[in-house]
Amino acid sequence: MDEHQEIKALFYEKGREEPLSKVGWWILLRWILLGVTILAGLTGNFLLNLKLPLAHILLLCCLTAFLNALLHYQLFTLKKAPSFEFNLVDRITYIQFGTDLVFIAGIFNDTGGIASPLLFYFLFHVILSGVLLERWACFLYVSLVALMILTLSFFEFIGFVPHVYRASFISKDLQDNPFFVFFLLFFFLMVLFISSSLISTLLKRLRERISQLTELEEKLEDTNHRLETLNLIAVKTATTLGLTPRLDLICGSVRELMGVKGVLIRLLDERTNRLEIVSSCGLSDAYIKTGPIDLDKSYSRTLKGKPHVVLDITSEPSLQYPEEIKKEGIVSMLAVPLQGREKVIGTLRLFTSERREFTQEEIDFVSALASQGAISIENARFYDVLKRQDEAKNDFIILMTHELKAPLSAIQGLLDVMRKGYVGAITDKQKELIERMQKRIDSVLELSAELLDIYKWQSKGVIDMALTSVSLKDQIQKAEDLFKLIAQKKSIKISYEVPDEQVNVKAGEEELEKVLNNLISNAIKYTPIGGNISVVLRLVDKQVTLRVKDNGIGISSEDVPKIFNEFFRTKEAKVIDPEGSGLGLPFVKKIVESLGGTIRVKSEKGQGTEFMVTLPRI
Amino acid sequence: MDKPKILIIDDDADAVELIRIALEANNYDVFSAGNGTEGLALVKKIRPDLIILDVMMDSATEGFQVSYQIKSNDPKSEYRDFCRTPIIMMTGISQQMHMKFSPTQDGDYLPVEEFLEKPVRVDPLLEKIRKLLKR
Repeated sequence: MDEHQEIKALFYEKGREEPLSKVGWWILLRWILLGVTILAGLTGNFLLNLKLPLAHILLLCCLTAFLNALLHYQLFTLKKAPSFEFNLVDRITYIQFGTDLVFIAGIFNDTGGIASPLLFYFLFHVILSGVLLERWACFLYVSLVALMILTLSFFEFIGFVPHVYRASFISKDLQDNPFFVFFLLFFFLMVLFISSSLISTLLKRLRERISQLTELEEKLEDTNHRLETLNLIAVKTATTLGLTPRLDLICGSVRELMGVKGVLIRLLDERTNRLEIVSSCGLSDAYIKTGPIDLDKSYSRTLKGKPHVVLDITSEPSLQYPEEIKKEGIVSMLAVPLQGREKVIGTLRLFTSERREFTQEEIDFVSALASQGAISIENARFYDVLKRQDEAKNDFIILMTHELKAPLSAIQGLLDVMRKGYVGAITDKQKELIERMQKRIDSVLELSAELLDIYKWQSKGVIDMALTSVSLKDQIQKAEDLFKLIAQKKSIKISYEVPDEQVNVKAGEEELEKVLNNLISNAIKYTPIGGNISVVLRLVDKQVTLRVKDNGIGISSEDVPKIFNEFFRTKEAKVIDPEGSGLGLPFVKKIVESLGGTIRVKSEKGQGTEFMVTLPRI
Repeated sequence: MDKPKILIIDDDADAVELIRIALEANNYDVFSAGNGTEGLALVKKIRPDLIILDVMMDSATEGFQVSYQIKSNDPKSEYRDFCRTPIIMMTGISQQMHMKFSPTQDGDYLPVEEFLEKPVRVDPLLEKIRKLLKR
C-alpha cells in the first residue's frame, strides 16, 4: 500500500460516509453549476443580448445533467449497499473528472475560447482535482486541461475549429493578436500548474499531519490504557495483602496488556542463588515444572538491572532450559528485572509464540510495571515479616505474663499463710502490711490476666470461645449474688429487671460472665456512695439487649469515643482506681463483637453512664 | 482416727510449701511430689485420701495425664484402687484450654472432683478439702 492509499484508508476508516459524501457534494455542486450555467446563458442572451450559442450550451448541459443523474443514482445505491469497494469510488471520481473536462471544454469553446470569462471554471476544477486526486493524477489532469486549451486555441487560431462566439470584454483585435493569445495562455497555464502544485503540496502536508495526529492519538490511547492498567495494578496490589495473589495479578495483567503467549515471574532466592518460579500464566505445567535457574551455572543479564530481548530463542546461548522453551512453542522473549528498592529481586519474562520485536516503549512500559510489581512484592514480604514478628512478640508477651503469674501466685499464697497465722502469731500492723502486699499483687495478677486475654485475642484475631447456649438470666443471677456484698458496702442500690421467659444466647460462658461482671463492677466502681445502678435485660425481636446504667461520675464527651481503646483511661477513672489497666472495656467489646453483637455507650459527665449490649438470641 | 493423708503434686516448691503449712496447721498429713512420675509412685506408696494436682509441670499438660491415669476406667489399671480418690486440680490453664472438670472421663472433661484457680487462697482450698473428705 503506498502512502496515498494508506492515508485514504485512514480517511475511509472514519466510516464510509466520508468518501461518499465527497462524491455527493460534488454531484450536488454540479447540479448547481449546471443551473447557474443555464441561467447565465439565458440571462446573457435574453437580457444582455450576448448572442451565445444557446442551443449548443443547453445540449451540453442536458448531456452533463443526464450523466450527473446517473452518478447521483449510483451514489444512492452505494449509500444503501451493505459494503462497497473503494475502487468504485475512485472510478466514479475519474468519470466525474472526465465528464467535467469535456463539459468545460465545450463551454469554453462556446463562450469565446481563451477570451471566455468562464476560464476560472478550470481553475476551480484544478483546485478540486488537487483535493480529490492523487498527486500524479492531478498533474495529469492539469496537463490534459492545458493540452486541451492549447489545442482548442490553436485550432481556433488556424481556423480548424470555428470561433463559436467572439463577443467578450476583450477586443476582437486583441483576441486575434498571436502574442496576446500566447501570453494569456502562458499565464493562465502557469496559474493552473502553480495552483495545482500548491494545492497538492499543501494537501500532502495536511494529510501527513493528519496521519501523524492519528498515529499520536493511537499512541496516546495506548499509553492511556497502559497507565490505567498500571494504576489498576497499583490499586489492586495495594489492597491484596498476600504475596501470591499479587504476583498472579501482575502476570495476568501483563499478559493481557502485551498480548503475549505467557508471562513468568521468578524471584531470587539469595540463600541458594537461584531464580525460582513463583507465578506464571499462559504456560504449560510441564514448562513451569522445569525448575529454578541456577545463577552459578548461567548468567542472567536481567539481574544486572537491564531489560533483555531475545528475538529467536533458538539462537540464545545463555538459556538454561532451551529444550523446554522450544517445546513450549516460544520464539521471542522479553526479560525485565524486578527492580526493588535497593536491588533486583527477580525477573519478569514475556514469551511470544511468534517472532516479535518489542518496541522501546513496550520495554519501558513493562519495566515500569515490573518495578512497581517489585516494590509491591517487597511490601508483601515486609508485611509477612512484620506479621511474623508481631506474632512472635505476642507469643513472647503471653509467655512472659504466664511466667510472671506463677511466682506472684506463690507469693500471694505464702502471704496468705502468714496472714492466717499458720507460721506463728503476727501483730495487727504486720497483718495490715501483708494485706496491702496482697492487694498490690492482686492488681498485678489482674492486669496480667487481662493482658493475656488481649494478646491471645490479638495473636488469633478472634476470641477463642467454647460456644454453648448460655442463659443470660442465670448469669445475671450469678452477678447479683457476686456484687450484693460489694454494693451494700458502698450503699449502692442495684435493681435487676429480667423478662419472665428464658433468654439464651450462644456464647462462651466465662466470656459472657466477664462482660457482665466488667460492666457491673465498673458501674459500682465509678458510682459514688448511695448511687443507683440498674441492670435491664430485654428481648427485642431476635435480639437480646442488656443495659447497665448508673448515675455515677460519667464520661466527658471527648473521652466517650476512646473508652474502647486499649489502655485508655479517663482522668477521673485514674483518680478513683489508679491501678486499673484500661483493658477491661476493649476486651468486653471484642467479646461482644465476636458473638455477633454490638456495644454502645451513652454518657454525660457527672450524670452517669449507660452501656447497651445487643446480642443475637437463640 | 489417723489424720487424712493429702498428696500435693506440684513442681513449684513455694506453692507446695504454702499449702503444706496451711494444711498441716489444719491437721492434715501432707506429702508432696515435684512431678507426675514421682507423684504417681507416691500415690501407690502412701495411698492418699486426697490429691492436689497442678497441671503445668515438666510438660504443659502433665497434670491432665496424671489425672487420667489415676481415674482410669481400665480394670487392669495399676491405680484401680485410687479411682475414687478425690482430686483437686489447680491451675490457670483451664481457661486457655477450655477444659471443664467433671467426675466422668469423656471428651473435653477432666476426671477431677474439684478445680481451683491459681493463685491458691487458703480458705477456699480448705473448704473444698473438707467438702470432699466428708463423703
